[in-house]
Amino acid sequence: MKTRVSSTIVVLLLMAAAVPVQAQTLRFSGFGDVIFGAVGGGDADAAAAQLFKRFGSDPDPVNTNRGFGLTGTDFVVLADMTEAITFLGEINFQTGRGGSSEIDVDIERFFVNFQIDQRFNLQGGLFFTPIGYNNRFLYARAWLMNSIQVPDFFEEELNLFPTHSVGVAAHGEFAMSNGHRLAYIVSAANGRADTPGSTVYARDHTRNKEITGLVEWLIPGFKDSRVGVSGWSGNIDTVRVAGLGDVVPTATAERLALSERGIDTYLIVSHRWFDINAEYVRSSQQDRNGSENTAAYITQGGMIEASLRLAQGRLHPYVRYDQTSLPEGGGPYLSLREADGGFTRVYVPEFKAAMTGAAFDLNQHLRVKAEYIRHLAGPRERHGGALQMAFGF
Amino acid sequence: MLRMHIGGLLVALLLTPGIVTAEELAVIVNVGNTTAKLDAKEVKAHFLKTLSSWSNGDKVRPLDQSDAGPKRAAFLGKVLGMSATELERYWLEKQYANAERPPAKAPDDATVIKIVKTFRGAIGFVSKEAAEREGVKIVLIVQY
Repeated sequence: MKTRVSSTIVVLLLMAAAVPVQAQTLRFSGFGDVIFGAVGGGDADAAAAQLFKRFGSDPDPVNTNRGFGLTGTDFVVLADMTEAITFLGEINFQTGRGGSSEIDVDIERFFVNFQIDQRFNLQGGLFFTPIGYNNRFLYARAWLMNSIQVPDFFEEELNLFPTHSVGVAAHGEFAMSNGHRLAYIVSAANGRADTPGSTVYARDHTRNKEITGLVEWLIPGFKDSRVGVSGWSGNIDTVRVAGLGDVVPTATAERLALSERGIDTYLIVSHRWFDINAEYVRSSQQDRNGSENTAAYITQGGMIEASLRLAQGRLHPYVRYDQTSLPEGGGPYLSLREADGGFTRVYVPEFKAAMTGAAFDLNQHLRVKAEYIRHLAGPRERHGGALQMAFGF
Repeated sequence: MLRMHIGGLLVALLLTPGIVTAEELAVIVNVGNTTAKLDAKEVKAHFLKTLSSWSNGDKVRPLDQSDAGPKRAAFLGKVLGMSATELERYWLEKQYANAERPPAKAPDDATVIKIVKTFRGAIGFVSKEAAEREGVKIVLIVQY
């Protein structure tokens, strides 16, 4: 009798998990990493290093691995409110990048997903801007990445390209022949804030909305391979600060109206024996009033990583190349930061480096990595090495 | 004399069905499911939720097993083409990316069969013997 009752309870619980009728399934997961890194060999570009020392925002460029470092950790809560409605909240605890131990609490994502049909679903809240692949899937997720270095071009702190959006998105997939699918995402969200690092979460004082679209061809295999193209368009209302290091009070700041257009293409190959992750993104910002400067500020970023899948898929040796290209010092917008009661401009360096290393999965929750990085340009030191322990659960 | 013993042993081995017969698992669906047969690729697409609905519109409800025995290893290896670690990572990635729900894990064949009998969109794997005994719809048989 006792066995029968226990068996019935198990079946009921599993049925509940399979078909939630209220917020009875609460899922909790998280990920993070610890890094030890060292750099040396002198500046890759002495002039860039001098500019960074004078006008950089931190002692080191973002994501420089020096000594022991705890980049941050994310906790994810998912609540299956009904069978079709799921809430996802992701809180990021991140140490100050400028060498301090102060912990910042950041809402990384916060959205409700309405699962309507494979071809049409809705999402509302704060989500990763549907641009490219790495921003949506691998951003800051050491546990999911083979390599250690976070790509500059989708680093939230730099915001060279939009990484997060507050708004609504429609997404879905259409089945094609032989298991192939065509996926899309369209989003309308708050546009960029007056400085790149201050994403508009609570309210948008401008009328600017950012429209984003993505189309992706999914090819079945070991895991889905993907070929995609995405683009975005929006306006930015900001201020003009003439030179690096200048400080302009908010009250007297000259307004600057920019338009931004961007495009991103990517190729993700996921094979039983190897993976390829290649992405290129380009944006153009232009003074939309065209009063004195009609030149477009072009920003580009890209990476290619090729890795093997050895030892029953646990060992991933890889090579990778990353590059970003920015307007002078970051241009009028990407270099803009909030200062006490006003605005200033910092020097945003370019990134150009080759990396090689290996990631090894101790188990499904723990990945250890070793990486050598050779910086070919920018203010960083020429050589760098890093060890990382990344976890996810 | 020794040659006769070896010959007898070989004959006995060949005549012992348990030694030469492979085990079989069955991928099962609800009897109300209009799908008659699936190949391994199609089962994989349904189990990994890359296809989230059946041809009749019912939502796909994959069901895994918590028992880490040879049957599950065979399903993962021969149908999904993944190790247990790779499958765990796959679902964690899907959960992080778009709040996807991984399949529930049933403790045994009997529980899988009960759930598959209850939900029209359910799909799971059990031993072929259990599937045939319970009269559930088999869409794929895999030897291991």
